[in-house]
Amino acid sequence: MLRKVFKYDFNSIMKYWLPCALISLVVALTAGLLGFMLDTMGDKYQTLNVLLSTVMVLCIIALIIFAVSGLVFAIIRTNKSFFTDEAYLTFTLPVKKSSLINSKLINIALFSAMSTLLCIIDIIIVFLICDSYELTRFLSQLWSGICRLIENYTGLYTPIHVVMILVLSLVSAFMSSSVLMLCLSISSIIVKKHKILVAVVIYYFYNVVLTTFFSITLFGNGFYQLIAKMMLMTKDGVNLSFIMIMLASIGISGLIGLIFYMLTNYLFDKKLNVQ
Amino acid sequence: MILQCENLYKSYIGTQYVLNDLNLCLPKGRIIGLLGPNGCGKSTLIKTVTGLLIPTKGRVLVDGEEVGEKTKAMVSYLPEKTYLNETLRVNGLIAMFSDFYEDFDPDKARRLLSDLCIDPDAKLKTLSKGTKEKVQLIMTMSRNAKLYLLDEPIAGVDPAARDYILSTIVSNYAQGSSVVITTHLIADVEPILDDFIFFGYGGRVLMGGNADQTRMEKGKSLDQLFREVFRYAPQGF
Repeated sequence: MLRKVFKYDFNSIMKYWLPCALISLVVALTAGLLGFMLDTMGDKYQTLNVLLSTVMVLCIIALIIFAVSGLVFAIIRTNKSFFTDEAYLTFTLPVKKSSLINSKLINIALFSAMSTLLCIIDIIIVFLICDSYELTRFLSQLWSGICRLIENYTGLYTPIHVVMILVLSLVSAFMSSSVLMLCLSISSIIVKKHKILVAVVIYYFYNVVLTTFFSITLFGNGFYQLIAKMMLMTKDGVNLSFIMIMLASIGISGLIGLIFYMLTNYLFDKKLNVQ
Repeated sequence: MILQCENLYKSYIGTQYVLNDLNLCLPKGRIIGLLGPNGCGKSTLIKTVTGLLIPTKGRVLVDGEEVGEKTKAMVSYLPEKTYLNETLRVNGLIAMFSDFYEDFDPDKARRLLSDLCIDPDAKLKTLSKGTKEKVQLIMTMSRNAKLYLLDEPIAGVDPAARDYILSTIVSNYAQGSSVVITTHLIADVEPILDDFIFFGYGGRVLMGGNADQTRMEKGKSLDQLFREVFRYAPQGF
């Protein structure tokens, strides 16, 4: 049943995301052309320079908005199917509540990743049209820097580091999605109106508490002294310290995400009344 | 019995009990009217049976099963509100119901839509409120469910539409299934009812039984009986 629920959620979100994705490609092309025109003609005509620059800035802002569009559409879909009149259909389907939650979480993570990928493609398009020489030079420098980093600091540990970074990204996405779902669930239980606003407030307080907690904990435990010491360590020492920090981050993020996920399931099962 | 409520209590945060120690058994194969004034708990009971509300105390059994995934597959629910996913077309909604409900009959749904000249390719968000309600009714009655729960199906519609809705209910529910209709428009629903329950505030059963037998014994229609029973009890009866 998870597959069926996921399919319908995915299709519903895609109906809004795909047109935005296509528009973002067009905007990226436009921004690239404007950049090219600025390079070639901007110096000669001041007024044209200002106009082109303004429009280009607007294009860049639009691309930034498109970068978060996937997450926004996925959250809107979650809110509509769980916390509006559409919930009468959602919660009377012969499906486990955990499957409904899992489908939304997977879609939030998936569309966030797709929007990020789209943003990268947009940036490449802008550079390719604007100044392909600059793009090639930038990529070449980036690659050289990465190779130098690998050679000097990681060596044999590179595959482990890459895997850990990927795992941390996935776990962080899971944690973020769980937090969002829990905030929406709590707001739906405690208030009848302005559920989104209350959910945002709850999310804000969660971020404040978490940031304060980790700042105190990391300062108290001398985390920053550890970082300073790492700069003086051998290559193996740096790698091991990095692995330990990554494992701790993955563990903490995973634990928080799991707790929030279980809390969301509990609230849906035992406390959430669809009114 | 298709539906059993045992010592059922339901309250919302900061309110008194809407359902107060309700004990109820509904038989199979009958059209039952759950009749009561506004705010007496009819919709709360229906939503508790569908799993939308969680009982404060007590339990609900549908065909002997506790409310959950299995009972949702047996129950076909028509809420008072429009619940459609407006990103879909009518055909998409039919496909969705076919996917999730094994007892859904897509050919029956298409036939009923065609009777009303509703374009199956139409986007749901372009339909009028009344047409959306008819689409919802068609989706509900196109299932061969064991229990149909229709919450105020004729509220807010014109008399011609009411006749259509009631005739659709009577001619399309699966044989051997039960239909529970909640309403306060007794006169319109009365002709199709087999049994009735008068529901008072706090979810109390004030009177119930076979509709025809009661009309013969009392010499009155259910509508007249309803007015008598609830005349001196505006609240808290």
